[in-house]
Amino acid sequence: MHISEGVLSAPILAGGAVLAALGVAWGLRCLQSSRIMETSVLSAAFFVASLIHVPLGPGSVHLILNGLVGAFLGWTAFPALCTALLLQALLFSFGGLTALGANTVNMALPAVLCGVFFRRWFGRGGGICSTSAFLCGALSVAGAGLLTALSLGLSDEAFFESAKFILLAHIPVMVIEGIITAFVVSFIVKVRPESIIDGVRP
Amino acid sequence: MNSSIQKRDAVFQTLRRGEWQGGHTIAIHRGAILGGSRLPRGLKLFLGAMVCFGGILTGMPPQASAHSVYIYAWPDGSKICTESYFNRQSKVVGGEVIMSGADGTELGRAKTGEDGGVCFDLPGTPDSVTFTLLAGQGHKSEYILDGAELAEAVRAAAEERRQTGDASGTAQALSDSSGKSGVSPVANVRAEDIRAIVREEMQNQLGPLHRALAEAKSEREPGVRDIVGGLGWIAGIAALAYWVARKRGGGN
Repeated sequence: MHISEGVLSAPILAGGAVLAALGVAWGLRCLQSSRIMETSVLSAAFFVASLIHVPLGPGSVHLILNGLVGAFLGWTAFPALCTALLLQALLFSFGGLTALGANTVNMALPAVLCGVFFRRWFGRGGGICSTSAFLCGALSVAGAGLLTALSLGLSDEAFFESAKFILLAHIPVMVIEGIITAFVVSFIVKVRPESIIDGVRP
Repeated sequence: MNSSIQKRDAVFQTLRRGEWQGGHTIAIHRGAILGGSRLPRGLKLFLGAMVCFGGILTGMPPQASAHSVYIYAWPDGSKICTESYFNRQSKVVGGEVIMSGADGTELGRAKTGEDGGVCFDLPGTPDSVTFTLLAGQGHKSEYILDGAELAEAVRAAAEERRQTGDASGTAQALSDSSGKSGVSPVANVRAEDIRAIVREEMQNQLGPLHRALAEAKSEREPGVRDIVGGLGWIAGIAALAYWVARKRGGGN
């Protein structure tokens, strides 16, 4: 889902850059110094997750983990994912530097929205917590796919064709990431609830 | 040690009493991890739908989920061949490769085959050519084949064309001379013909070597050094953020 250099049109690149800058600025404003380490660990997890390929059918899929980052960090996911995407572009050639803004918005916006929406149920424990965490992980991937398809559709490629293609290819990723997010969130709610449940102070 | 345990217990007590977010009742289950709890109906339905959709994947091309795409090109006889791949296991199938000249004019366009490869005719002049791969879903990559690498291949192709043009005349002359004087055609083979045969054979031998060199020159998949370097950068940025936070002296 990393859009390469020279694929998106100038208005989409500019719009993505502006939205990403606003998101990063707001995320940095929300970042507490006590959560810097947590933010960097999740940024590192996102940075490395893209290299984990899961063989599936004729090809392979890879993890994204934007839902997990959104579940833990909320708006701080913007700077965390922007940093990881910048390093991926520089070191791995995953996505273009000019498309960094668009890629950040595509990955981070659904993660933030899902995280903010679903974390209210994390504190209820049991099935409700697992289900909401699963949906947070899965729908963040779906949202990232839709936004990527929308970016491509507004630039050149047909939106519905791209959306269908990207979403179908990422169904296994949605399931895997949903399960990973459910596991991690359930575990953290059990052992360190203050780091993920709003209103709980250590 | 004791204080941290007390702190954790206090949090659990807070949660159990439901004293957060408007007093919702909170239940902390020791076995709250997905595998240890009964799945609600909504989640079961969602998982079922996912599994059904997953069946469609068998017909899906693998490239849709890739991060990056790579292409490289090499002169191979009278052609320039390219190979495109997402990673070592999955080639780009049906991707569009555009060959452009040094001035940006399009010289050719073709789709990659099952093996991710596609070949083009050599250009008439030994200038550098750019191959642009459009693999769909935002994947794009370029490879520039230097003019110096093409010079020998272009010269050989021109020579071959000239030889082919002369061949019919030579064959006719040989036929006439053997018919008239009874001299064996082998005795009349020219040095240019031998040179052409040797050149053709050499190019056949050098094709795989050119390919290996082009592959080595093309962008590589990330290695351990890149990964460790990236993690180091993240740790450094985190340390910088801590330093800024301490300088400011505030909680945020």
